[in-house]
Amino acid sequence: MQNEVAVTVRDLRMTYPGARPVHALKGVSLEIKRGELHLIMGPSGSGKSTLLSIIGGLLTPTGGSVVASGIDITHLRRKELARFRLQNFGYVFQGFNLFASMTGSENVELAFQVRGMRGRSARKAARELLGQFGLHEQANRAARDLSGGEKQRVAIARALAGNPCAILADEPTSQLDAENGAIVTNILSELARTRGTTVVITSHDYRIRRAAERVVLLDDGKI
Amino acid sequence: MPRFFVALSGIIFAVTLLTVQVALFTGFANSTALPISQSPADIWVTAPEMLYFEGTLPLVYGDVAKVRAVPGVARAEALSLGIARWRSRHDLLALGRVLGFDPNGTLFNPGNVDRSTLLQLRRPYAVAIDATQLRLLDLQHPGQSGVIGTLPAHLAYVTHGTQPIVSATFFYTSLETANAYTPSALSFFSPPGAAPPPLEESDPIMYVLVKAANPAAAAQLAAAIEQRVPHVRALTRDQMIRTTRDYWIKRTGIGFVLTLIALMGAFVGVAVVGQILYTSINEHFPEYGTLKAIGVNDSYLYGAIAMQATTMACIGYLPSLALTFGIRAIAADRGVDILITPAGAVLVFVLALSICIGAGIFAMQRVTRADPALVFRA
Repeated sequence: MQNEVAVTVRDLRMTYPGARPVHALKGVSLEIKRGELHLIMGPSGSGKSTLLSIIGGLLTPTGGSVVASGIDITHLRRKELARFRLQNFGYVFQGFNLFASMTGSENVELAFQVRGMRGRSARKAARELLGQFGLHEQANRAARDLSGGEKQRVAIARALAGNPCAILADEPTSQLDAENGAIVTNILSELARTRGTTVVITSHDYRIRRAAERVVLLDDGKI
Repeated sequence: MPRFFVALSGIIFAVTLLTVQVALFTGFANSTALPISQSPADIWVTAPEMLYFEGTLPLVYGDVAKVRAVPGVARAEALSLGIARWRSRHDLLALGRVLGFDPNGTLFNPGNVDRSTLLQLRRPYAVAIDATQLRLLDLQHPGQSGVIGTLPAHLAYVTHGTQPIVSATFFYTSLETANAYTPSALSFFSPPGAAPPPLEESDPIMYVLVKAANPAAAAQLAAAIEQRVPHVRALTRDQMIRTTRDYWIKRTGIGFVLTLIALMGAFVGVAVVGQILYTSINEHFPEYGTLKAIGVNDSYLYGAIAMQATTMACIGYLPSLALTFGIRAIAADRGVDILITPAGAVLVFVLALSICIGAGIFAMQRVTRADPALVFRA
C-alpha cells in the first residue's frame, strides 16, 4: 500500500503579489506515498504553510501542479475544489479551530453533518470516533473547557469524520505540552500505520521527526 | 450568556420598533376611515367633488328621497357634517365637527351603542362624543353641558373607538340639532330652549347613506344612483374607505411621515440586527473559516446563518409583540390607535425574518469571500 503514490507535487511555484512580490515556493517537487507520515520541516518563512495549503487545495499556486487521488487539483474550479477537499482531505490546525461553544461531540458531529450524515447516525459516529481517542468522558463538555491535548484530539477526530485519504496538519503539537504532544504524535503515526491514511505535517517537533517515514526540509521556498 | 441577552434585547428593540411603527401606520390608516368602516351602509352618495370623508361639498336633504326612489335601494338616510365651535362651562374653547344623523335609522351608529342609548340623541341639543375627547372638551361624564355656537350641547353618552386621529372632535347628534348648530342655518336665531325644527328639502347634508336590497350588487346600484340622481357621486363602502385612506396616506404629509417612519424602523432594524449578526460572525470567523477550509459549500454556510437569523427573529418577535400590545394600551388612552391586525402581525414577522436573514447574509459575505488558506496562516 505504501508504494502507491497519494500526492504528486511537480515544480510548484508560488508568488504572493504586492509592491515587493514574495516568492514563497520556487519549484518544489515531491511524491507522498499512501499511508506515509510525511513531515515538512523548515525555518519560519521557508514556505511550509504555503506548500501545505497548496497540497490541501486551499491555495492556488502560481505554477506547477498537485495531483491527488489521480486529479490535478490545481485546475479545479472553486466549487469543485471545495467538494474535493470535503471528500478527500481532513485538516488539523495549530490553533485547533473548534467551535468553542459546542461540545466535543457536536464539533465532530458537524463534520459528519456537512458530509450529509444526519441526526442520530452523525451523533453515534462522532461518539465512536471520540471513543477511539479516549474522549468518552469529554464528549459532552464544551470545547472551550477542554485541555489543549483534548482539543487537538477532538480536532483529529473531526478531521477523520469523512474517512479522508489524507490528513494535513499544520504544527499540530506546537501549542501542546510534551505529554500531549507525544499523544498527538502517536495518534497521527498510528493513523498512517494502521488505517493507511496519508498524513502530511508541517512541524519543528523532533518527536514527529522520529515518527515520520519521510522528512522534507524546505528552505527559502526550495527543498 | 450575558452577550446572548444583549443581542436578544437589541433584536427585541429593533422588532418592537418595526412592530409599533407598522401598527401605528395600520392604526392611522384604519382611523381615518372609522365613520365609514363602522357604518353598515353599502353605498355613500355625495358630491362629485368629494376628496375624502370630511372634504366634500354639500348635497340637499331632498336628495335623500331621490336616492330612496332608485330601484334596489332598501334604505337611505342622511348624514350631515358641519363645523362646531365648542365652549365649555369654564370657557375653554375647542373646534370640532358636528355629525348629524337619524337616531331612528340603522345606517349610522357611532360606537355601535345599544338602541336605547342611541335614541337619547333624539332629545334637542343632545350630543355624544368619543371618550378620548372628554378631557379636551373640559368634560368628565355624561350629563354635563357646554355650548356649540350659541346653543347648548348636553353630553348624552360617550362612545369608544370612534374618533379618527386626524380629525377634530366629532360631536354626534341628530340631523335637526346638527342643522341648528350650523352657523348658516336659520335655527341659529331660534329662541334658547326651543327644539330645532325638522330639516327642509333645501337644507344641506353631506352624505346619503344607502343600504342596498342586494348588497352583493352594490357597485351596480351605485352606478344606477349616479344615473338617476343628477350631480352626485355614489361610492361603495370599500371605495369610500379607500378614497379616504388614500387621501390621508398619499396626499398629505401625515401619511408620508408615517410611511417614512415605518421605513426608518425597518432600516434601523436591519442596522441593529445586521450589527449583532456581523459581530457574532466576526467572533466565530475562525470557525466559519475552518468549515470553509474543510470544503463546506457556501449554501451550507448561508443555511447555517439563515437558521441563526431565523432563531433570532423568532425569539425577538414574541416579546416584541407583547411589548407592542403594552404600548398600544397606553396609546389608546390618548386616542392613538396602534392597530395590530393578524395580517399586520404576519407582515411584521415576515419583515423581521427578512431583516434578520438579509442582515445575516450580508454579514456572511465576509466569510464566503474569505480565502480558505487563511486558516493555515492564522
